[in-house]
Amino acid sequence: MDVNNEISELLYRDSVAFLENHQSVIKTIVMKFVGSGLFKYNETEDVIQHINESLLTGVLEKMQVQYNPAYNLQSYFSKIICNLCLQYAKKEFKRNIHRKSVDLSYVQIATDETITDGIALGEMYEHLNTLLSLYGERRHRIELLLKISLGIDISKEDVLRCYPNCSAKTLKNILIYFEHPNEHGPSSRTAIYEKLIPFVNELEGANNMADTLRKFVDRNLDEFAEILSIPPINAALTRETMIIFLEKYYSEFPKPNKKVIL
Amino acid sequence: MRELFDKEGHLSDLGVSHYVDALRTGKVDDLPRELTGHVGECKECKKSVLQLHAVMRDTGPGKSEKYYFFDKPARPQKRIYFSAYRIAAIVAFFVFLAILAFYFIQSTDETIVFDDLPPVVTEEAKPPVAEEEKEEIEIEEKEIDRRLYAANFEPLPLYESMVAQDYRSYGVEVLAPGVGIEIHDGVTFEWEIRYSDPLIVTILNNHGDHIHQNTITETTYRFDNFPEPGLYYWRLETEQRLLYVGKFVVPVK
Repeated sequence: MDVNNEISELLYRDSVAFLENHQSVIKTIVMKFVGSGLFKYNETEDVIQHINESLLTGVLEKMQVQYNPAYNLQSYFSKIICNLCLQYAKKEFKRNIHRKSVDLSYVQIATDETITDGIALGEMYEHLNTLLSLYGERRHRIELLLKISLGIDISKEDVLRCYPNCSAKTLKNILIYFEHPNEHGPSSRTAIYEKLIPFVNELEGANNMADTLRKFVDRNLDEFAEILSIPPINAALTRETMIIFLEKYYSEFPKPNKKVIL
Repeated sequence: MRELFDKEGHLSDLGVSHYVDALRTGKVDDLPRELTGHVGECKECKKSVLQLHAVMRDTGPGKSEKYYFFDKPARPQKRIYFSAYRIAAIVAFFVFLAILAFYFIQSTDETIVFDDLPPVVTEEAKPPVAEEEKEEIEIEEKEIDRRLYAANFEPLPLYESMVAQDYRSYGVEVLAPGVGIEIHDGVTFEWEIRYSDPLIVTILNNHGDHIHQNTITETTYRFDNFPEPGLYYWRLETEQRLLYVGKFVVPVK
């Protein structure tokens, strides 16, 4: 019997014993949120108590119904604990608003520390890399258009990942302007979009204006900033700081993508 | 796969944790395309996945470890625990069956007469069903059919969220059928595409079951063999990527 089967059997056979065995998991997750500034350190025990109470008064029973032993129970349990942490944070936040004594300064302190710490920056790159991977098939297009619009160097692999059927002539023309934009490319973002849109329209069979590209890029920048601001990541980015962060990411983070065979 | 989505078509807690497992073990390519497709489009589900991934960072097994769903064929695991008593009970049951069979084989030469049994009523001997009764039965049957058909028109949240999404980077434009239209004598799928890769057309019912699938190189395709009225979805895709999801209705005649 593998580990997952043993644990899932315990969940169904003796849920109290299951809970006792998983106290360390609960504490680890709560401490992650404490570290991110979602909870104060002195709230730790209260949060753990809230989680245990919730699990014993119905959540474990729901888990028994909803869990499918074909999947990994540890991750599923972590997700449930994550939900309960956020539920507690939401409840406490509401209560503090009623008391008019809400104190969110600790969130900003934690964020500043995170951003300025070089090791944490490496973690942030990894989170961004994971986020980009969640876009699946759309990732290549988003990355290509972001790079071009932010004036970051692109390669022919970047273009061919997005447009595998791009002709050699079009590829060559795109690279003339955008491979090393600081040398030959347009200077402002508006000029970049004006230069880029004919290529995108040709490759996608569309008839869009340059402003459509600007909106697309801005929408994705805002979305990245919003998603990377969730606890426990708490990057607190804006569109402007996201641009700076992306420039650093593409210059410092190891390239994750496989090379395209030409 | 239904347990990976909630009623609104977003990832369930199990769906999120399964996606995170795949990320942590480098097995995202093994995930169902519906799962990756939905996350690719949905900001809230991206948040959920990234959040759990961040929470579980530095904990639990990594790429090097053998890992559940991805490393062994998924099979429903029933929680049956065999004890010695249960095994003994099963053995005793089979012994009993064997004795019973032996007894009947031995007694086949004897003729058993059942004098007290009522005569068997044959089809001809049955009293004719009254017209009113027939009508009632027909009405009941129609009502059952109606309920069954209604279930065939329930939307499938997962696919609803993907219908008519814009996948323009591949240069495909679907011309027919229109989204949600009624189909009476078969459906003709038609699209324009800039590239000539073979495309896969898949038709699914509102439970997500595959009704039909074919790989084609033309830009039109006709299908008319629908098993029953209902709501149907269709996917157009290459080997590598999903291009389009549409839906149409086959009405009750």
